[in-house]
Amino acid sequence: MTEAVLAQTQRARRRAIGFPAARLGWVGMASAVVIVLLALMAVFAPLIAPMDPNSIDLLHPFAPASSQHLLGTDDTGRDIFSRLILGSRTSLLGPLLVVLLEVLVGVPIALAAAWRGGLVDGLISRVLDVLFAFPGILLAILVISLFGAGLKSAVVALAVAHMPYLARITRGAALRERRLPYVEALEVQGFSAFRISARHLVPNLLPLIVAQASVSFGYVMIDLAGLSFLGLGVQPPTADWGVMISAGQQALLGGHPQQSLYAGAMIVIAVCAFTLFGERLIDQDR
Amino acid sequence: MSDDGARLYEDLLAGRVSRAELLRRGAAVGLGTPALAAILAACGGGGSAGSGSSAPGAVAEVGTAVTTPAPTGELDQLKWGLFYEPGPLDWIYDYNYEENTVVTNITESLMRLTPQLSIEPGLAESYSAPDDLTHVYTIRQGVTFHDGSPMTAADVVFSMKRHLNPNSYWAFAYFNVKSIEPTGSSEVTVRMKRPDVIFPALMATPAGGVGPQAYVTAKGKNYGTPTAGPVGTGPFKFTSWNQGANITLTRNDAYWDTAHAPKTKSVVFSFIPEESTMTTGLLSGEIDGAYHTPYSGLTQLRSSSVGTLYLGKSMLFTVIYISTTSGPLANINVRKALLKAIDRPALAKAVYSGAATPLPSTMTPLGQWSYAQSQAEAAFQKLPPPVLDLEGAKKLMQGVDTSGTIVIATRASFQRYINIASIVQDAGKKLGLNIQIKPINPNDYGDIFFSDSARKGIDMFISENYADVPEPLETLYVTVTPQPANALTYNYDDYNNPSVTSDLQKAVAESDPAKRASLIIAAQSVLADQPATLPLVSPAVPLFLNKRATGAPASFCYLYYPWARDVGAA
Repeated sequence: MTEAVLAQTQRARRRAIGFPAARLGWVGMASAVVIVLLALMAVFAPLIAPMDPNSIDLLHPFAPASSQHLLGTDDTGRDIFSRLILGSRTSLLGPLLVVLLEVLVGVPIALAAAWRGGLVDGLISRVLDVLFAFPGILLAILVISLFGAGLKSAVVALAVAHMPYLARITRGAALRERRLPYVEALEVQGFSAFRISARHLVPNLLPLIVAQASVSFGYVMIDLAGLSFLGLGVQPPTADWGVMISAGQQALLGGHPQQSLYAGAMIVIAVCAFTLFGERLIDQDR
Repeated sequence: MSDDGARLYEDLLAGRVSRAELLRRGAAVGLGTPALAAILAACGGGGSAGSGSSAPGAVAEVGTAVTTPAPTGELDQLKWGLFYEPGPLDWIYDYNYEENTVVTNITESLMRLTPQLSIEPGLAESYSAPDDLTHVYTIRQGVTFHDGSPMTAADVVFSMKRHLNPNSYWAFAYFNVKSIEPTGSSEVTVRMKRPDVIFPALMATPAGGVGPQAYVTAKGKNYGTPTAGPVGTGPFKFTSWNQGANITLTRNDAYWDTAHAPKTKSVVFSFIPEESTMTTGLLSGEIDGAYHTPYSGLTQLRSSSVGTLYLGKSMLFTVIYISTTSGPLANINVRKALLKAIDRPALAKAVYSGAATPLPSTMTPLGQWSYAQSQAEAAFQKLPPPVLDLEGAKKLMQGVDTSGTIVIATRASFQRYINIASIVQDAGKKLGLNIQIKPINPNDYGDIFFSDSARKGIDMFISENYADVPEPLETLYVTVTPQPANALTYNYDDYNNPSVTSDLQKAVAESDPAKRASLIIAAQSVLADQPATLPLVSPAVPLFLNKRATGAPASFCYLYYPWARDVGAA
């Protein structure tokens, strides 16, 4: 391998390792901090939640905020604060699983299209075009109607719906990377397509993939909350932010907006954090 | 009634004044004793959710209104809310809330359920039972169908025989019927295989519905669908069905019951499945009224200045059916303990916004008793009170094997059912029981009632059931006694207590109401100690009418009484 080609691959790898704080800017850093806090909240939820999120207290529905119930109670007297904390688990785990599925399916498809070109690229691109033609949420509802409501169905459905976005962007970047001299040099040395892709292409594309996955996380979270709101995603009484918005909608009319309001606020915060963080990563990669 | 009197009446219904306050203020605004008595009678003791507070342990009935103030004039159009789009408006397939809410104004029955929840003659001018095995119906003369053809005994026989087809949702009513024959130009005789006191009562439902033989036969499977709407003798004629949006009925100017000629020119039924949309529609005046308005919105409707909320006399009961013969629920003590650990008065308040009566270990709320009412009421008060008794529940659980998971099914996306399931789960947790909630797709939930395979893996499930007729035996008998194959049954755990079975089998054949009541009460007493189900509350019927409309009956009769004929301008 020539020095120039070696430098090219090493520069790309440096780019993939770590995300300098200075280049993320304060918005990116603040978003990262929020994401870390949300992740900690989800991981340690049972330790942080002051009460059992499913414990009913029928004598105190819609109790106002107090030292016992920091954010008050819902229509069956359950502690809203505890349900918000425990709700972070399904609310974050769902999008995480969707994004992982997106990456595991979308990236190999994109690399195959970029590497083989011709008929394979054409076929994959047309399939992605067809998937693009379906609104994501509609595709998800279709899949759920076939396999039944619940988190599993919703995750698979949204992974199918959102995968084309990641695959399309990754394919474009992989096509550019494929034309670089270092790839040709590696091929000349007799390395297999799989090894070059796994050892060199993917690491070089990783910042873009992570950035796109982060942005996708936000969109998926909204869609999952929407499906839960419609009763198609996470099923009540499981504590989940989308479920909580849905469960609290009738109480909104009755002057008790707490449950829906707080759950909605959590979704807004999480979606903003992931989207802004992802955008800063994309900016940094340019 | 004067404006002051009307305001006072509304205040009473809305629970803003007590009965004592009504008498004091009524006298002050010049209402005489007869007027005040009439108001109290119309309210049936106060129809607001606020009524019914009582000493702990006592059971005070919530929701006893049967009527609303009479209209003062005609209404051009009544906009009515339905909480789902009905299925076919063919009376043999109409066995659910909104189908019956509509079709009862089109297709009438031989007998009729009244606002007071009693049974009176309908299309049958009179009814007699010469012996326990014979029911004779004398058909009313001069009645015509909406297509202009006269109603005959042949139409009645044809209509009744449609239920002999097992596809009819009312086929269960005819399980003991041996023959249906015309025995005169205006007489139909039904002979039974065995005595069945429930049969004549069910003639007030679509089981006794009458349609024109020629039209129904000509339309075949399309009868009652949007393409070939129903034809009956009722006060309203089917006009149009805009699928996914609304159904329109128009007044039948040739209605046979001239004393109750309809006061509204047309009724538009809109389908509003979403609870908060229904509440908002009523509050904004977009909809004139609705029966069974969402309980979660009662607080807003109760305080609304747009109209009046009535809590009607009901035959509804919320119950948890046991659908397993093994595991912890097979132990009677576990059932009793769960009932004691569920705070039924608090459930009535939190889940039904106070518009429900906690049930003391019985599935036969007082609204179902059209006879022997004082006997039933006395027995009701002797049942174990529906109060929270966690300590008593824990005592019952001593030595009980609590291993294993109990699965409770609930209707997904139906917040009231979800909340009840959560409450049961929480009560079970306090007793060491592991109760898992299984949400079932709303479209598949009905299958649980009729399919063994749909109940597979489900140990209990929630139901807001109701008696069709004011005969406590109707639902009780099929729930707690063994039933033959192909008969309607709610006995999902093969419950068979010899004493209960014997009493109720005798009751079904007992034509004397007092003796029948004694047998039912004896069985009820055993069931309180050996529960077959977990009865929770008896919800009242919420009816909201805005200020444009009045006259609709407030009670549960609206499924089998042509209620729209009574509605007019306020």
